[in-house]
Amino acid sequence: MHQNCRLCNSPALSDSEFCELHRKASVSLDEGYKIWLKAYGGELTMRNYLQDVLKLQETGQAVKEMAAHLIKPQSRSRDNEGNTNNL
Amino acid sequence: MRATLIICEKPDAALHLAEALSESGKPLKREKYGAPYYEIDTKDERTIVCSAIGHLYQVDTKGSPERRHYPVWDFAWKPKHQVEKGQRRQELWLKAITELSRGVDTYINSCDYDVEGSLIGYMILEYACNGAAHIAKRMKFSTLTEKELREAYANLMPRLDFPLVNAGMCRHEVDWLYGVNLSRALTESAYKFSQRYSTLSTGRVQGPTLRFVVEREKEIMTFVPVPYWTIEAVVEIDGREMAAEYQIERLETNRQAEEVVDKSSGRTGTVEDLESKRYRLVPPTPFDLSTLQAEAYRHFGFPPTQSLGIAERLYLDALISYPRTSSQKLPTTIGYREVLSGLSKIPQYEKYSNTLLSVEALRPNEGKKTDPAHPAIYPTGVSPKRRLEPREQKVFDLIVKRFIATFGSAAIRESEKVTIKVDNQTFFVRGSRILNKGWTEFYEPYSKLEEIILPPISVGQKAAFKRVSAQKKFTQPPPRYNPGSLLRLMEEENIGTKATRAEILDTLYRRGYIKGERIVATSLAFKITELLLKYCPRVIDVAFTRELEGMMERIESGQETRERVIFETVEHLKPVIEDLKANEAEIGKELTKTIKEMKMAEITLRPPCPQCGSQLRIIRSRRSGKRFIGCSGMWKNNCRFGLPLPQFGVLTLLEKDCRECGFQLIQVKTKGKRPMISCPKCFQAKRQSMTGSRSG
Repeated sequence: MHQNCRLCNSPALSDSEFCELHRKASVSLDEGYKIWLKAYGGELTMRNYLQDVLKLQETGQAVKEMAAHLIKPQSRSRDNEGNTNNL
Repeated sequence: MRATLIICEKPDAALHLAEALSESGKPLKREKYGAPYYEIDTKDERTIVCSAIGHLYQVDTKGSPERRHYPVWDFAWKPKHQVEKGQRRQELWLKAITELSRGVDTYINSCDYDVEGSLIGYMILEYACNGAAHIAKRMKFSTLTEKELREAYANLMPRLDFPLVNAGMCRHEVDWLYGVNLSRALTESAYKFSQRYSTLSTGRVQGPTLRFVVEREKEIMTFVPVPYWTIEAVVEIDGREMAAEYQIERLETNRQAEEVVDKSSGRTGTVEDLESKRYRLVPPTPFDLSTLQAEAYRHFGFPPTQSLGIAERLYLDALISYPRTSSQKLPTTIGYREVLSGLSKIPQYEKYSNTLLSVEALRPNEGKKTDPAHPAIYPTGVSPKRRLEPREQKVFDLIVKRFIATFGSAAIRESEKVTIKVDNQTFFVRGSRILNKGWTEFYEPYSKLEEIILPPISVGQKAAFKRVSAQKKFTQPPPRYNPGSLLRLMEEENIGTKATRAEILDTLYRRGYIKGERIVATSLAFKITELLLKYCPRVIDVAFTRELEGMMERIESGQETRERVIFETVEHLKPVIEDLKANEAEIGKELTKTIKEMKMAEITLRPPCPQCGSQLRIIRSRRSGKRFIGCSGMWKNNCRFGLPLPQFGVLTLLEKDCRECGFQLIQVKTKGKRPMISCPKCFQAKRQSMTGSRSG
């Protein structure tokens, strides 16, 4: 368990390695992926999704930080947070 | 000879009142310690009209105050100059009023008729006029026109409006208890940890308002846009091309969108149905303060405090009625015809005023909101006696046109919907025409109705789909608040008052909690809200603030007592402050960290050093005292990269980049001048080329 969020140094939630904001961003990313997947008829990998989300100006800053973190090679084996199976 | 002392809220109001009460219209102007006052002498009576300059008394710690100590529960009302520094003018003003009050038989409070005005007058009468508050009379008016002032003077209220005075006192005392204790808790916690002083504040209304902004910021920061598709089509009917819309506005999948395009592109459909509907667009309601502020922001971009300031100037010129009102009602007693005939003498309003004057029965479209003290904001019909400044002219025009528009007839719009089917896909072509402009004509340019005139179309006609395409779009994050929408939200949530809301927004800007016209919450705002939520959630609980607001409103109608509200406030605050005090070290540590980060962010540029890649920062030279952009890698990498900066004004790093070179732009603000935006890199290049060409 981390004391501080891995992305912003704010206090991490007790059951997470992220703070409240980045945890929420992670949940939004997972929910968003389901919608994107349906929108593109199931033909979208998590990596492509994250790359697309990163490029959009509408994307929230915390989501961008989380997406960038997930794309990094060392994050591929990320533990139990978020749906990263398709990376 | 009998003597009467009338106390107005502002010097301009005193002049108007003195002019109205003097037979000649030219009262004798005198001055005492720099405070102007007017004398009107008749055979057996002497009337003195003087004024306050806003609040001359305020709440402070009882006894001699220790500025940094908290918690504090004992308070007293004191002259402002004894509490705040730099109030010499207020001190002399009070001295002048005290001397003028000697030998007076009748006292009249003629300050604005609302909670603040009642309180300002009461304090002066009670403390500067030897306890005269209990024998004083009250004057009530909503405009500074001669007619209304004379009528108000002839119909004085026999005593002061004590429920309003008590409500005003209570509001100031409650706000002081909250503000002083919570703000000192935050400021002292940070100071004790860092030994550096930063003014931090929160309050009864400030806290929940900041929370609105922070919550919205969180929504924006965690927003994930999702794709959707819209169909754009152009159909040709009878040789004329028209835009058509698909039956479903947003398609959720790429496949659905492609299918619609495949089934309609290049095909010919048939007109299956024609539908037309008439709509009545009712006139707008008269302005209360918050709708005026929102409309002035929408049309002119004026921040709410600015609109209020302008409206107050117009009121003091007797051009409009009292602007601090929450009423949307225009009672007949204001004299609709008199106002309109006054307006008809101003060339730009002549036409529409005369149109309305020819109507037999004038009836404004009133709104639901009421105010026991004042009607909605309306023009008095008096022509401006001086040339209004452009911003004043804009607000005046908006108020006049709004007033006229409320008497207009409903506008009638006919909308047409043509249904076209092609291969089981339904499209619509929409048109609209204005059958009767009604009130919209009076309110131009602030209301504009667009028309799309369709040619004659009949059922069974063929419609050729010339162009059909699917447009991929993304959902948008919720919009940021702007000063107008945040004020509206505060009003909807019933926190703060019409007089204080705009001021609270200003404080949030001043403290560095929010920035920008599209309001962004800073990291300090996040931290303050987080700490308050952790240690005293009720302080930023909107429901609790609303409840307290309701209690204070009930004092105005005599259903609640000031003493009980103060007791409840202290009971609620005591454990909260104790908790904050117990956690001072932890709070101080967190606040200090955030303040440091914020201060560092304020001086750190986005682009890295072009020579060594380290961060670029605004640095002030210890030797010369001059500021410049320098490289943070100076010691580590021996990097000497630097760029010049202007040595005057307040400097801010902007989010925007230079169009020429892509470097981050800076803004310099100097008092009384327009902000200067400049690119340090381009400036240096220009300077170098000039030096080069001179030496060459």
